[in-house]
Amino acid sequence: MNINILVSLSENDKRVLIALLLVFILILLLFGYLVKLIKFICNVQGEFVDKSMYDILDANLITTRKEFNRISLEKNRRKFYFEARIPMLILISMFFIVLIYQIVISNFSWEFMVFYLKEACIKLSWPTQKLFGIPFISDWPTVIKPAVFYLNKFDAWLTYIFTLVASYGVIHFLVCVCALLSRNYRTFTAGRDYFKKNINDLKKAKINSGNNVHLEKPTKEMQELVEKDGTKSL
Amino acid sequence: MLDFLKTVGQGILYLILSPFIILGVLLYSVYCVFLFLFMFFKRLYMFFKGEDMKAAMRYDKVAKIHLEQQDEKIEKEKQEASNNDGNKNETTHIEKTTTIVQPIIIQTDEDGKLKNISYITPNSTTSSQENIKNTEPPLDNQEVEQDSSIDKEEE
Repeated sequence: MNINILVSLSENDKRVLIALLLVFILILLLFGYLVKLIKFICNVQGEFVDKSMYDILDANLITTRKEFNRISLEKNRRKFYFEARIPMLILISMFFIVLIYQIVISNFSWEFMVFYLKEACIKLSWPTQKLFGIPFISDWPTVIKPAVFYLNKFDAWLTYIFTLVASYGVIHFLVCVCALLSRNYRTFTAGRDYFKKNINDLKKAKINSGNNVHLEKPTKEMQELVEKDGTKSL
Repeated sequence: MLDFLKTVGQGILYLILSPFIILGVLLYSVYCVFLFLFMFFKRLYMFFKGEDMKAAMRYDKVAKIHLEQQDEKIEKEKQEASNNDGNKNETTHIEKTTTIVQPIIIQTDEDGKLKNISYITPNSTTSSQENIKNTEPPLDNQEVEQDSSIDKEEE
C-alpha cells in the first residue's frame, strides 16, 4: 500500500512540518541543558555534606550509616533553616501588610489583586494553521489587549509590589528547598558509599595505612560525650 | 554528536518526567514550610535551654580535638625523626671538612724567610709569589708585608 494515497503533503505543509521539528529539537536541547545545569547546582549544594562531615568521619566518631544519616540530616535541616529565614520573613511580612490593608478597608477578599493583575497582563492572539486537521501556531502573535497599570491607586501599587516581592520570596524559598533536597540526596549517597563493605577498598586502606592518616580511635570519654546529645553545642 | 544526542535524550526523558518532578518538589516545599516552623520552635527551645543552634555541634568539637591531638602526635614524631636526621647530617659535615686536605709547598731562604708558596691542585702545579697576598692564611699578613718591603729595598 502506498502511503502517498493516505497522506498528501503540500509544499507549505512540508515547510511547517520541518519548522515544527526544528523547534521541537531546540526545546528538547534547551531542556537537556537545563537539566545539566540543575544537576551541577545540586552537586555544588551537595558539597556541604562532604565539608561538614569530613572531620567527624576522619576522627572515627561515627561508625554506622544510621548515625551518619542522623547527624548529616540534622546539619542539613539547620542550614536550611538559616537559609530560608530571609524568604520566609519576606513572605510573612508581605502577607501581614496585605492583611493590615484588608483590615483597614474591612474587606477580606483578594479580588482587587486578581483584577489589577489581569489588567497588568497583555492578551495575545496567535495565528494558527491546520496541519492534518490540527491547528498549529504559524506566525508571531498580535497584541489584542495591552497592559494597563493603575498608578494613581494605592491598592494597585500594593498589588504590584506584593506580586513582585512575594514572587521573589517564593522563588528564593524554592531554591532553598531544592538545595535541601540535593543535600539530603548527597547524604544518603555518601553514607551508602562510605559504609559500603568493599573488600578492594579494605585492601587499599590497609596498604595505605602507613601514610599520615588518622587511625586512632576516639577515647571512651569522647565516645560518651557524643553518644548522648551529640548534636548539642558544647 | 554523541553528546548532542545524549543532551536531547535527557531533554526528552525529563520533559516527560517534569510534571512528576515539579509535583514532587511542590509537595516537598510544603513539607519544608512545616520543617521551617519546627526548626524555628526548636531553636526557641534550644535558646531557653542555653544552647545555640548556630554554634558547632558537640560532634564537630570533639572531632576537632581528637584530630588535633593526633596531628600533634604526628608532628612530634616527625620532629624527633628530623632531629635524629640532623645529628647524622652534622657528623657527616664534620667528616667532610676534616677529610679534605690540600697539600701546599712552602719555599724559604736560608734565614727562614718566606720565598714562595705553591698550592697543589688537580689543574695547577704552582702559583707565583704575587698570589701569596690574595690567599687566605696559613701566613700572617704582617709577614707578607714585610716580605714585600724587603723586596723593594733589594730593588
